[in-house]
Amino acid sequence: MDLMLFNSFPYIFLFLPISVIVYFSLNKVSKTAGKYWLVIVSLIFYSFGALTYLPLLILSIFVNYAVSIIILQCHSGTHLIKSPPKLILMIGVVFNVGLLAFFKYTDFFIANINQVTNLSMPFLRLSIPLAISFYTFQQITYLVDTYRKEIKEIKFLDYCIFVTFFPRLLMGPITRYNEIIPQLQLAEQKNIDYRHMSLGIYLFFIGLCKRAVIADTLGVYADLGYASTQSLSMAEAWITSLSYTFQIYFDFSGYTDMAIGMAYFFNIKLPFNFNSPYLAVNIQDFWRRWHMTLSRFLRDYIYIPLGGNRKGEISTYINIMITFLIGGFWHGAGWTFIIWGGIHGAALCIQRIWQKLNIKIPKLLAIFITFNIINFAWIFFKAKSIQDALNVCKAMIGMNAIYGLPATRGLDRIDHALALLIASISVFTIFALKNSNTVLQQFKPSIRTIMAMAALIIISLLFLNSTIPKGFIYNDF
Amino acid sequence: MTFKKYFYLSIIFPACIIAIIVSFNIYMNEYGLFGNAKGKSIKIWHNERASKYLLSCNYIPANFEGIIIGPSLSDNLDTKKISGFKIYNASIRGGNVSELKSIAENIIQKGNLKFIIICLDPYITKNHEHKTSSMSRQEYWGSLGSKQILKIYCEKLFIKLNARYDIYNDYGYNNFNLTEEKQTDIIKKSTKSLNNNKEKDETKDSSETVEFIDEVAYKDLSQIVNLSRQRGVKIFGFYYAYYIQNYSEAKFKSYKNKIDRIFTNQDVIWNMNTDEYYNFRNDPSNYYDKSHLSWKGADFLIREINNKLNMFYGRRLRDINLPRS
Repeated sequence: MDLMLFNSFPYIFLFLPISVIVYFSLNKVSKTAGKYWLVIVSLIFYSFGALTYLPLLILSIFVNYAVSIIILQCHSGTHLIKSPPKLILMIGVVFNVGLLAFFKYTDFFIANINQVTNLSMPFLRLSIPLAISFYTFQQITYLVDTYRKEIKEIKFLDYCIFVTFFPRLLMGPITRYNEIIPQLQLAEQKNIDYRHMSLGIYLFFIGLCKRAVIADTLGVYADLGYASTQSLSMAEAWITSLSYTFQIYFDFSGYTDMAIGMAYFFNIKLPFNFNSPYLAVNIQDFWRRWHMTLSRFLRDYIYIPLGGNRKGEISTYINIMITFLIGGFWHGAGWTFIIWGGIHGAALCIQRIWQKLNIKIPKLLAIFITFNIINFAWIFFKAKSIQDALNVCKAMIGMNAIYGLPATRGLDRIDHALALLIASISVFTIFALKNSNTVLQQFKPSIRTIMAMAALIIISLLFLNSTIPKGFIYNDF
Repeated sequence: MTFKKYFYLSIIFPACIIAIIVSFNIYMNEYGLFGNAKGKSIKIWHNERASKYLLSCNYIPANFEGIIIGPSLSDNLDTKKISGFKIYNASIRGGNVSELKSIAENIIQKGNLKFIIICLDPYITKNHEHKTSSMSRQEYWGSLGSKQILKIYCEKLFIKLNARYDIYNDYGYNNFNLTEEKQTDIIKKSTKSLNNNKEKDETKDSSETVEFIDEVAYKDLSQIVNLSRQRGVKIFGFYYAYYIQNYSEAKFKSYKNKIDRIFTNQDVIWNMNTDEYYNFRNDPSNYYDKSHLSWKGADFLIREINNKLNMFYGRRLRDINLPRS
């Protein structure tokens, strides 16, 4: 079975409506029945893309739930084995990280050991279980929060929903238990809330439009450029790198909008994940606006436990670098991802030093500089190898030919004109329009919003019907 | 406005607009997909691959008794000039046999095809990847409303406004010669370029004696032939006539030896690289570049195909009518 993509017709017109209708129908009978349905439908959703790895997901849920119960019992002193909760927490964290490392990083380590030692250890060639990076982090937050006594009571059914809730199962947002589960206990949870439905459908189609119209169009140019990095001219290299910079934002924030919108259908509010990140005035600001739930995880569960900025300046820099290198490595088992994390870490350290010098720069210049650093870092994130990334960088600084249009097999003049229009719209959207969060907060039902909604639906479905749907970029992580 | 009212309106209003768009596209029926296409005349406006693929679903099987498949070498054959037979040119510029198979299978399975003519050239068997994602079932739904169909309307408008060359007809003919250069210029240029390249090509040819054939593509070609046989579709094929100075006998023989194995004595296969065609192949005005036929060359090939068809069907007709002695 193929992965059920959010941006596919069967998902939009069958899976999602059926899930919502059955959920509220069962809720009328009993709230527990509705919860069971949420778990079942989420596991069905997961099975479409990764039936083989469904047992792994279920095992992970059982183990983490058991560990959390033991931690709770250790806190209350009711567990038979009198072990310190911290030890139990460590066992839980090691289990999660071990699982992730085994499936995602084994071949990377084997490749590097082989290279350094001249050995020829065979590769395991395991496929990465779908969503493992996300549900691993999600469950680590849960264990740590349980250890920190922020979670007092856990029901297995609630826990299953917390981990598997399908709108956010594959790519987040990475949520905390206390952000989601208390919402399920509310009395109004039981009934259809038309305000939530309206917000949800609006946000869902904003997200779909971002993905189907902008990300998919620009992605073609990014893919073409990164497929032939050696022959890029300066103009091509800039088109390539900027295309990807915009593509990844519209792809991931589009997905997040869809996920948040879908959660609204079930009367669940997920945390926002993006807040106009390319308007950031420095790298620290960028990480407060980009993939905010991952940033929060890295800060609360890695950077602060490492000591944060409490142990002196040098230690702070080391902690920043460690945090970002882990962040980079989490995205993928490759040196390019580690370098991407390293660039962000280094930029953050430089920013701290700069701030100490107390030299102010104009806001627009600050945005411009930050954007270019981010754009530069994405080159390593996207490139298949370090050499490919360096090729793009070299071409961008004019070490190849200056001008040349991208090699655009299969694209015609209308495609180029459309891409140019969409690129202009994307720039305008990023730098001049309100972001989804603001749009949602200021949302009022009116004829104007119905018109906007109709335009979003029609344009996104038109584009969606023009290509074979592909997975989101973060599906691979 | 209440949220409840808003919610329902926000679903109903776009649904109505979508229904209008879909109805309009069904009415326009640019690929002849909906309803009976018999007797219709549908031409290609844009994106030959996707268009020919979609036309193969209904329009071609409903209206044609024969098809030609091949790469660009046969794409500029105007089959409308063939008398006595209604033949659709399903060749694709830059197409390989795997792409051609998607089209041919549709036509053979859905239609009542009498014969298929295959242009045999190494280009169609050197790889098998589809060069576009638009030759798929998805494109069928795309005809109800997609970027592709919007582009068709745009191209149609440009052509009607004389802002673009109108290079296709309703028989699948791709007159790409028109978009290159004027025929006379082409001949001059190609003659010069052919002479310039002669030495280089000879050097290249002498070093390569075997023509590469992709295994999957080879299998796909065999499958087209086998399916045609199963469905009682007569198989014609011709080894394309190469410009004499751009021809490597060793390479061609290696190619022909392997391709010949697909065919049987029942199939009508002719080789255009024999002495019989020497004069044609030695005349640069028959080619607008090193390999593609000029209008003059294409007309010759069309006549040749017409003769072969007449010979076969004429002879068979006589055989049937002969009184028993």
